[in-house]
Amino acid sequence: MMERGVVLAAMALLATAPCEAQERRTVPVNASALVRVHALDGDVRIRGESRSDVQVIDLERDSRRNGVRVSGSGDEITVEAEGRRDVEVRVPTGTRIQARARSGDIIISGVAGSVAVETMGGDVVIDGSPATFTAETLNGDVRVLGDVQTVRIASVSGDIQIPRATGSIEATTTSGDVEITSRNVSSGSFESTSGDVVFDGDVAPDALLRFRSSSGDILLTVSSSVNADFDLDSVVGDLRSDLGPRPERSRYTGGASSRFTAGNGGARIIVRNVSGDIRVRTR
Amino acid sequence: MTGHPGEERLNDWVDGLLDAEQAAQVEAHVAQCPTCADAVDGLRRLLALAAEMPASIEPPAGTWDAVAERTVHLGRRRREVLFGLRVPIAAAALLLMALGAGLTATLLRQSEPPAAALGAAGGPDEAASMALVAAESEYDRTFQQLIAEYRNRQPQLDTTTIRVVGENLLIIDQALERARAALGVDPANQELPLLITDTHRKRIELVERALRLSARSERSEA
Repeated sequence: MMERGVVLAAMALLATAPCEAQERRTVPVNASALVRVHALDGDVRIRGESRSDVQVIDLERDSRRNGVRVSGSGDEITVEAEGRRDVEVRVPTGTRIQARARSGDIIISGVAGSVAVETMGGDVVIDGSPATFTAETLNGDVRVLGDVQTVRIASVSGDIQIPRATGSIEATTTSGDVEITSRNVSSGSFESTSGDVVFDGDVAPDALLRFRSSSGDILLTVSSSVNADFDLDSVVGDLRSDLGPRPERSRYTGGASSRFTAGNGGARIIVRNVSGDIRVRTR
Repeated sequence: MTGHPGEERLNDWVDGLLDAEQAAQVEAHVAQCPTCADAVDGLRRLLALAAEMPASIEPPAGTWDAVAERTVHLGRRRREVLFGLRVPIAAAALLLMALGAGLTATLLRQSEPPAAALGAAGGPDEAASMALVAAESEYDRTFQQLIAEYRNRQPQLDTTTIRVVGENLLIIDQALERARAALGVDPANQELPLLITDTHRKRIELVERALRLSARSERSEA
């Protein structure tokens, strides 16, 4: 699993790689070009900047042969890095990005166009405000640090962290944890089969937020003055809430459910679990 | 229009939610795109099946939210089944019918004394249960096809991928068992059929994801 320090260290490493050991190539592109970056086990850093070309920097020291291929120009450019070759790609802010790696990490910042990322085991970190962000990993973790209006993340065992969530978000993982700190998320679907789902933050007035797990716990922390309709149901697990009436216990399964309106209602918060617990806390 | 319209746009078109210009664009695309035409046909068949479900009855006060919620679930399920998973249309239809029967049972129970509806042999619960079994069978059939493909590819996969897929398939199987066990205890629970089919969806998605991501990695390496 991704440690915050590891990611920061990776970002710092990429940011401070010595220029003299790098090979740079520059290709002219249109402002909204599609930039594809394909890596294997090396890391990828993509940085949006105020520029009119794409600069590809092969970060490998002592490179005796060309391990990074660049093709295309204008509307579309493809960068392919071999083996464990790390690469940095500097792009115009408005470009659209499609990046994938096998075990390499992908770190993206400053891009305003749409961003789509795939990795097998590599972690993904995105900062900035792309129009949309989609990520798919097998066991890589995904962190969304910026203000992205539309986010869709799917992983098998990776953790998903969105510390400044806003807009519309879908985050699903099988055994990873999902951790969301909301700044008025308008719609969200957060799901893990065995991992925990943790939500802390504000709820937009008409938001629709869904949380689901099977055996993980679901913990929501909301304002004590939240205006929302809650629909909570754990088939077998425990249910505790600082808001609303005492949950109804199922006489068949031992689980509990509760439906109530907090404040003036409006937003809808729907939580489903099977054997995991549900906890709603206020702050 | 360049590229496929996308699942949301196709759904909106079938549902008649697009303005004239947008609808004309989608219609023109569907007319020359077999993939989207197939998807639209599937949607329309499903809608036709849904229309044949038992006529609604006026629910007692307080139940509408639950009904509305299930409708949202059904809409999501429809889209996922048709576009995301390519599970045979029969599974979605069976699920819809199962939920329709189950929902009707719930409404009946809430408008009549509990003893009148509970435990009636051959009643709505039994029909819903049988339909769920059939839907699970359809999902399982699709899963078996995928897992056979996965096993064929396994020699080319790295040990981490094999371990992650194996561990997470086990987690999903355990989730299925938990939900089925709970349904055995509480067969009238309306959430559990959705949870079960949703878990089937995740199981299929997991294998699809592993196959797709590993295939692309292989292509990058080649």
